[in-house]
Amino acid sequence: MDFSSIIGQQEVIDSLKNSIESEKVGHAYIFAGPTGIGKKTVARIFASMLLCSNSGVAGSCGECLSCRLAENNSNPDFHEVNPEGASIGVDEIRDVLSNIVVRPMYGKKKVYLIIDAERMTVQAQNSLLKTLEEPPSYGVIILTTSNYGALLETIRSRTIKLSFKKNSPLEIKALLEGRFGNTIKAVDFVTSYADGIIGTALKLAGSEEFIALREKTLELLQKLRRSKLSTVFDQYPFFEENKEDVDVILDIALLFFRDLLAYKNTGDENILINSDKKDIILNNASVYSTDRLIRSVETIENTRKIIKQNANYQLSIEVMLMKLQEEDVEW
Amino acid sequence: MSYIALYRKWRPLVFEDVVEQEHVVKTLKNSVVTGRIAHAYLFCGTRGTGKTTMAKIFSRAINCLQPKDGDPCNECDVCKGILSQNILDVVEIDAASNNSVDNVREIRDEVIYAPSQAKHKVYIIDEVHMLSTGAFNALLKTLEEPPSHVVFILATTEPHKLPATILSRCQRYDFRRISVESIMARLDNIAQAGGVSIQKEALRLIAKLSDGALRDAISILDQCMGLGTAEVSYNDVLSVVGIVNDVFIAQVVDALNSKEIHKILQLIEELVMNGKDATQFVSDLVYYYRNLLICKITDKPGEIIEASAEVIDTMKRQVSSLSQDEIMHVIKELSLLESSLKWTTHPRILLEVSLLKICKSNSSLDSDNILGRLALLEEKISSGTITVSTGNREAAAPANKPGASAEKKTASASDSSASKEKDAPVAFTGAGKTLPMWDKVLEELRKSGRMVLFTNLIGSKAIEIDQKIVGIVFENGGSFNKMLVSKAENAEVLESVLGKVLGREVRIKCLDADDARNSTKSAQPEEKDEFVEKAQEIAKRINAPLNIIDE
Repeated sequence: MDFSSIIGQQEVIDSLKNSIESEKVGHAYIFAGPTGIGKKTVARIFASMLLCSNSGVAGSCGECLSCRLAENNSNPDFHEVNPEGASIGVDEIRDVLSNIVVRPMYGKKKVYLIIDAERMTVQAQNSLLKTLEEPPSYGVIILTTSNYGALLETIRSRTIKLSFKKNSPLEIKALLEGRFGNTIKAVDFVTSYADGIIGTALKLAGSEEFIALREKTLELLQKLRRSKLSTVFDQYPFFEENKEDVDVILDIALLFFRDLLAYKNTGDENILINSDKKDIILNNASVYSTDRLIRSVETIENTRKIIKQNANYQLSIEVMLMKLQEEDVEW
Repeated sequence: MSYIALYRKWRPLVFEDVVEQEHVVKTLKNSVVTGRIAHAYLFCGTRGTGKTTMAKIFSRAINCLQPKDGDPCNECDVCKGILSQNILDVVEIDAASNNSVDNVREIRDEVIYAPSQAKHKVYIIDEVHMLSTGAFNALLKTLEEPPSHVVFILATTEPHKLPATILSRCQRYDFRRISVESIMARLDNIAQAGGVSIQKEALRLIAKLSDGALRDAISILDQCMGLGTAEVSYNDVLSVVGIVNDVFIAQVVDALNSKEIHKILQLIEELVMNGKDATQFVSDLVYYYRNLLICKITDKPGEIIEASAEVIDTMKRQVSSLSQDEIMHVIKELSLLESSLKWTTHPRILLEVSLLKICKSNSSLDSDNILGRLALLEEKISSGTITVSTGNREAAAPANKPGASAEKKTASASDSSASKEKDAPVAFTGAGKTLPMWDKVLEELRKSGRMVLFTNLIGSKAIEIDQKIVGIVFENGGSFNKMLVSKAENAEVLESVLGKVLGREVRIKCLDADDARNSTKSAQPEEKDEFVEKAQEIAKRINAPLNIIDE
């Protein structure tokens, strides 16, 4: 395995390669960047290079015992901690702590990869602190996170942070066209919707469901503007059916209002994210007031937050719909 | 030997090397020299200020066979043993992962045994704030009266989470954030030892970013040195930490000041495309506005703000068009944004919307803004420079004067030129009379698209009850229509249309046919209020316009 399959992220890769080459591999890293940008992939490749017995800077050999074991996910020197359910608890971290004191079996290093580290509970983060600061000489701990700010200050201060940058639209478009040919619809939209994140782009490009979900959400939002307060409740079943994807729906709504806001205030069609729905945006931009759009965006974000905090799903959604439906208050 | 991160490699081994914290160093050294060693210490302070380091040094200092002026020698058997963790008399416990009562019971059971090689048995309990309540309480007795050979050192970043009973049993030392100068000096040392030269500006930036925490600073330096270049420049640091330079921020502030929304969106696009962290950017922006505020308040901002002269000049230019309140408003808004960024998966959108909101804040209705407008008013009033557009008000004044008698009004109506007939006030013709212009009013409603009101008024009559009140009489059975019309929003529309047609302000009163008969009967000729009359007299004498609001 090597880094050649990674598109972009040149600085991160250079820095990692550099550290292997000069034998200055740190003991704790944070890979920070939006979901789907390739943090996990890079981390796995980096781990395989650290574990490989005859690794060079080019990549892991794929032939030594470590590499072959790693291919089957059975290398005892590599551990991956994934959030089970909503969070990573203190028990999972304790497993890591008791495991890290055992010397590596095959290679020179032991690598621990904690995915979505911001989901560690406060206790879990605290229990990691001491080990994160001074792990055994062979230990390397890599955290990946899409929300660097949510980690404890004390965790952040102990780690080396590598920020993953978004890819340019051109890179993504080229990748999509290369991978799917011309079979997918709305390459332009997916490209700009993905907002520089390869994972999102790949996921969406192949997904009919996503396109359908988007159509429905946009339709609902437009309907909402014209409807009466009482009809708001008729919209709820749509959210119930797509409860799993509520984040996506909120994203779509957010981007819709963002586009309205951006277009309304600049009149520039080129900055739209929903570029293939230009007509909808243009039609609606004049109807909403800027204040109302700003409030809508805040409402959506607030709803996302309270749903994450386990507020009643139906109530939160209905309140949100009512607020979005609300006419401008005349003063 | 594998590579060790700089902040571990450069962990001080003697009190001398600890950066700042003189107040702690002095006391601890003295206690080693005089042998007055307490049995429980509590070290608290923010991350990276030297708590654990100090605890480690102290544990060696009190056990060292040949201490030099309070410092451990790091050469005797005991010191070496502790450094290599071969001596089990110094125990470093991670309280965050061993936080249960059972773990504390273990300690309690162990402490009674005398140390094997060293003089003292030292328990360093790090991250002590994570102990459970049960564990804290289990520790209390031991912490108060441990055997004479035992020393506890508790270290934490969050002393407020400890129970008061723990706090009162320890000697507490608060570690302060480390000053920028000291951090710079330390970093310079480390860089030189690593054979890397580093620009002064870059040093200052790292020191500023680390917010008084030396470990953060050294981590950043470590990353910068990892670039492999012989000289670390300001821009290297910027790209390593993923932040933007002051010039970029200044551009954003300029765009915000001139409310160029398009420019702002472009700048954000640029920010995101370069992989910069939105959260970091927002806190930088807050910091910049804080500096702007300082520029606004003081004459010599250069003494407080750590920035180059050019940057300060730019700030001075920018601040000239801003008021203190405006700056504070922006800071408040951005701080809100900072906290909501923690939740979102689309930091970019939130950033865009917040900046847009700041641009539009003049039209928003939050209390800050309204307070701002009030302040403006107050200022105008106190300075006496109120300009009022007088045209309309004077024209409307006679019509509004409720005291003016009907005859006089008719006279003035006929006086005014015939071409203006439409606008001329229509006089009050007497209580109970049907209003002749009612059809006209209805027509007006229909034309202006108030169809609901219009249809509900079909079949109704209007009568005048007194000077200011027009009764709308609905036929029996029209109670639904009546209800609709008397709704506040409909009534308002009707009143305004009536007012336009009649040329004077009127109120409406919705009546059933029966009511109407009674009300006309009871309607008395307008009672003259003595007080009002007097007031009018006075007004006439001093020749001032008088507007009486009759509630």
